[in-house]
Amino acid sequence: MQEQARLPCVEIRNLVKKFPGVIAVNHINLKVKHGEVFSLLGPSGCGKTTTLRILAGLETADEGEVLIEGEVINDVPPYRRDCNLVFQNLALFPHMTVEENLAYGLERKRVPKSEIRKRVGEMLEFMQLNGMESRYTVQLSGGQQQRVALGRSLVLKPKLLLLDEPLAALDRKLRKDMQVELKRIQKEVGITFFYVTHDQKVALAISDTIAVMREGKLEQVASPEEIYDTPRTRFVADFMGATNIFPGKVIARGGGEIQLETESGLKIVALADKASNNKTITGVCVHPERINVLPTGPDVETENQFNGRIVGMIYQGDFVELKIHLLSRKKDVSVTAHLDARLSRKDSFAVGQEVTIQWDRDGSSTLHG
Amino acid sequence: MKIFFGTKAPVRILPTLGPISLWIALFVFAPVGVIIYFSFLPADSAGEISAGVSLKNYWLLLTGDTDYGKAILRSVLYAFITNMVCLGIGYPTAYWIARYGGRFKALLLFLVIAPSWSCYLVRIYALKQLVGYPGILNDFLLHLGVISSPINMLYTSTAVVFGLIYIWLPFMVLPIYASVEGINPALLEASLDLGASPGWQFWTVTLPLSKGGIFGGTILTFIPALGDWLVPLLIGGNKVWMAGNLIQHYFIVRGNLAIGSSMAVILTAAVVLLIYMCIKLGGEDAVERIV
Repeated sequence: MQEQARLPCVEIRNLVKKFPGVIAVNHINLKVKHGEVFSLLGPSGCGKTTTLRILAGLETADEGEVLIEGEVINDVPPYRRDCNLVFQNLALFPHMTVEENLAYGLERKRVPKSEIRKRVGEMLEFMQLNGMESRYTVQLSGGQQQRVALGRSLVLKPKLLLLDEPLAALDRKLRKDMQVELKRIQKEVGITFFYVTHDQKVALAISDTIAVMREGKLEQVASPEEIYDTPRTRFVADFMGATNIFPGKVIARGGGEIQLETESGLKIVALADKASNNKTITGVCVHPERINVLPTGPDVETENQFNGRIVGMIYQGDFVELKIHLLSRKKDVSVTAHLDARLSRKDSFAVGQEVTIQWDRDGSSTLHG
Repeated sequence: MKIFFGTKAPVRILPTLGPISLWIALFVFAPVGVIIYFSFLPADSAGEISAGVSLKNYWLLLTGDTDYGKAILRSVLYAFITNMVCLGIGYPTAYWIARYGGRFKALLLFLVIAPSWSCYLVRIYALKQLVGYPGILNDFLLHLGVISSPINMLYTSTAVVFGLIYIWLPFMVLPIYASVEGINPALLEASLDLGASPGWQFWTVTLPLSKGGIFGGTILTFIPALGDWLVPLLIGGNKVWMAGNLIQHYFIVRGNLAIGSSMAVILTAAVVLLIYMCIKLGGEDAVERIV
């Protein structure tokens, strides 16, 4: 048992999957700990769904190994795997009632009738579907269908639950509610979730670990905070919304800080992280909300302070997005800044106005590729 | 006439429905009406019709020596066998094409349908050429020395049923193909994922979801087979009497329109009942698959 607990719930070793003309999954390695929510995040076509389907057994791996609790399951057919999948379009059986949908897997497992009734009853209760048991799934609302799909898998108590963007089809408000719901359910049942999504907001909200995937490879695997605050690569930075990306080189290092000179001639200060050496750093990125925008340029120049002119303003409700061109640069550089709607009024700035922007050194995060 | 379809705007329905209703009234309901009317006219054994209305014809069919009861039972039996064999051959065929046809799907379907584009009569004669004597199959077997004298394969009940199956099989394949093809592949994956073996998956997901196709195909094969008279006439050679033959015989050979009409009414009633049952059991899906 001790041994069991130390093994990762899922381990993927050197996984490769090729489709005609494209390598969908290209030598992936990852480990998923017991009881965590692990998100595989990436744009469509990056291979995340293929990886998930290989875990479910619906696709076969071309190379590499997939292990669940230390056991290689490459050749185990999907119906003998101890993991279940919640499909993107839910795939509820239209010819069965809610109750029959929930009982489907249990019946196959030769669970005694009384036990099935009990567990289905509990699941109806847990998923707040009381009174719906004899309805057909088409008669349910989107949120209820979602819960039936989730319940149908959870009732089997799998070691691993695979989720293929099950929230993608819901409207914004319901999606937010279901995020909270999913997190609650996961905490309560303690089952490991392997969640595939292209929505970085959902991933940040529900995950314990996020793996960002791009063109069949993993770009970065880390906690949500780490992924958001210190994206390792340009791609991750861009995907996580750190849209101000400045390619550049390190020119000085010391005292816990590093100085970079960007290709456009800006001198940017960032915190030095010990793990990296100067050579691997290829640039720096800044999240738009880390940038302060000041109406008038102060005389004293501090670190990461530049003058510019507002060229665009987009009102977004909770914040205002400013597009600012930096003045007197070799190359045109534009910066995006988000102004918190509570702190600054929309009308305190106008397009064409000259402003000074500034951010703290911990706002700039170094990139490695 | 003004009809409100849940909106405030009155819809003038007659101009839109007029021509087609007229067509249906003229060519569907009117002939049926005439047949029903004929069936109640008293007629003597020579077929001479006298005025009045009576149930004499129906009484004769029930008690007389027309053998219509036997013919109906035989028709139902043959149609049932035809239907079951078509289902037995058609389901795997349709399933296989839908699942594993890949890029040949269209071609395979075409091959299934193509024969039914040629004239029904031509196909029956082709079949006769194949299995009759002189015929290709007999010549072939004789030539090989497998048999010493030609086998009589025509003019038996088996031959009639075989002919019916041959003629009506494509109409079973198509609706089943459509319903199997229409099943969301994610449902099949979901059942595997939830622990169903491929066999169990077929039994609990594929089969229930293609029920509409099965009943649709049943409507399209059982009913024409039930009323068929050309196959028993040409392949059965006046030895195997089905209901359709008897009706045709009374109308054309005996010229007894009244008896023939009452036979036709009974057969039509049976067909209507069967369609109703198929739709009841197969659901709306069955209707959708054949329309």
